[in-house]
Amino acid sequence: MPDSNKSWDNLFRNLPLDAMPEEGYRRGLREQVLAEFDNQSRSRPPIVIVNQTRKMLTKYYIPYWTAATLLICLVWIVQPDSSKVAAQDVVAHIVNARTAQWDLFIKSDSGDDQQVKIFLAAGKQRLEFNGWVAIADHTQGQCMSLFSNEKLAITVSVAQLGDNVLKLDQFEQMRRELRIAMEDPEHNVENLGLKIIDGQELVGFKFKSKSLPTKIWADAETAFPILIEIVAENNQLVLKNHEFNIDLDPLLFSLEVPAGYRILNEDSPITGGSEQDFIRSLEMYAKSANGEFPTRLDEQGLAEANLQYLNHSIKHDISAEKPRSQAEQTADQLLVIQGGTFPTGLAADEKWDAHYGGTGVRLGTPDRPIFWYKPKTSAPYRVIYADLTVRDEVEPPNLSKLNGVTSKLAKPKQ
Amino acid sequence: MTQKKTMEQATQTDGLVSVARHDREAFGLLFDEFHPQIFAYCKRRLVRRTSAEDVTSEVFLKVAGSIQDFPGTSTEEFRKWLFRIATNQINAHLRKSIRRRELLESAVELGRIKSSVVEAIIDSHTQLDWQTLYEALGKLSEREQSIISLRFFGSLSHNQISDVLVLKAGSVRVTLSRALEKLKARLCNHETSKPALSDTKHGVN
Repeated sequence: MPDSNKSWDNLFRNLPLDAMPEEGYRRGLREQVLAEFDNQSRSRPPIVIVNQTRKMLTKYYIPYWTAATLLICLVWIVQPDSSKVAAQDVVAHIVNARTAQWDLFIKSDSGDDQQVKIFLAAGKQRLEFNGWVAIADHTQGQCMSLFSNEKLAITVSVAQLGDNVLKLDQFEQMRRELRIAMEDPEHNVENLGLKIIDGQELVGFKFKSKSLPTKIWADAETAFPILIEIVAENNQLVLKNHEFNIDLDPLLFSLEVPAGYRILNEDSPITGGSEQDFIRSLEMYAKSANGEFPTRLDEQGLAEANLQYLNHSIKHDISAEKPRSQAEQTADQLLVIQGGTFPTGLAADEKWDAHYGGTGVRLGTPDRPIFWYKPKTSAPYRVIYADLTVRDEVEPPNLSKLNGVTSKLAKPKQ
Repeated sequence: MTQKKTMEQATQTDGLVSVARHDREAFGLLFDEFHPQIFAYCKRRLVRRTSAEDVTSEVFLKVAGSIQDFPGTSTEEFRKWLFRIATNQINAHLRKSIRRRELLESAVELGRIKSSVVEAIIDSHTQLDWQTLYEALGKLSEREQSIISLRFFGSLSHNQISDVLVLKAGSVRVTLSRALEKLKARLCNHETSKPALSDTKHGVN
């Protein structure tokens, strides 16, 4: 043990307080605890109410044996789902948080669980995972990945996405989803009742969401969120160890490359995706979805496609005979995600006319246009086909002859 | 008599926890074994005796209510489970500002920290009292407070803390080290305006 820890040990050993329990209290508690033990085979009472009652009884000096008897009686008259905590109280902790810190546990079907530490501030996030650090500053549209083992840095600019950058902020996204759910709690929020986890009584709420169906388990007394579960395809994401409104060191979100790190993409910084990047992304999206192109290419569709691609990519790397280094994997994944930003960049710019028609189309289908775009004031169209070839066409594809066409990227055909 | 023999065997073979799921007497033995440790942990962290009694009571009532669901079999696993519940309860207790205030009010009675002990940490002749230390501790993040509490108030090893908080042992070491640095920095920056007192052992009951 380092000397400094010894000094701290010595300091706390000098704490001048009597840490022995009083015998009367110990004996009384023992009786209560054994009464609770005797009762456990019956339906479990809400501990909060029992505790409050216990405090009230002990406050007025009712003998412990009487208190124990009353507690046992209370078990039968208390409803098991009578927690006073409301979904609004739970959501408020997250929605109103200035900063947050938590651990993300990714539980996969393969049993290869991963743990990621996350720090969040307004528009900023930092992820730490096995020597890999990812920092995103959504206000600047800048991201950086650091690989401590290889001393490598990858810098990414997503500034050209403009306002859409904010939509990539997961903290804001979760808060927005929760706010939307709370606008109509009767239909969007389900009370899951009480559950005891690690001896802590938690009340659960399920929040309906198209993209992120979420369950939040909160302290039944304080409404403080303890567990957040997000069920994604093939994965269960569990957020634990939450802390809100703590003073996070600004250096946690610094985008300055640390001394001694080599910038992997110094010569060719990854900025907004090009058409070529986009075509590769389309290929990767299709390959990770059994050969089918994504249903839609608006922000939500891209988020789903990226998630599916990342799952596929991680599984592929895990099962590969010669797995790539984490830096290589991440650089490749970032390129695919960046490529995917190409259509949203077009959609956000009024000067461009862009259409997606790849819904349900299989990779390699001959002569099948899946995406076409051009400047509004000039021709021709650049048309990307399902076999990933690109041609310049004067006329756009005939929409009436195509299935799954979205006239706009953000609005799939009804 | 037969039952008593079973208890002894269970204790010897580390099987007391398994027996205690369904056996009142075995559960009582577990209470006797661990209640002093948990109470001391709560008392050192919360200082105020009534607070420590409340939180310790909540811990053991929760344990009694959910022992059947506890998946562990060894007393070590049971100990870690108890400390996890106690840490959660302490954190929940301290989320209310009135309770943090009560803690600091009680810490006043602990008086001044021995100067030789302070000097070993902050390498200066600054005079510090226990209230300042508890105040600085309370400004750390909840996780940092938990790790320091488990390490110094609960006397748990890094590996035990890692199991209690479901963190990697390396992460516990790093967080503890950073937390102690922060604590040290806060103590160094503290300029006491109080007149010097002799080293005290007031004590709080």
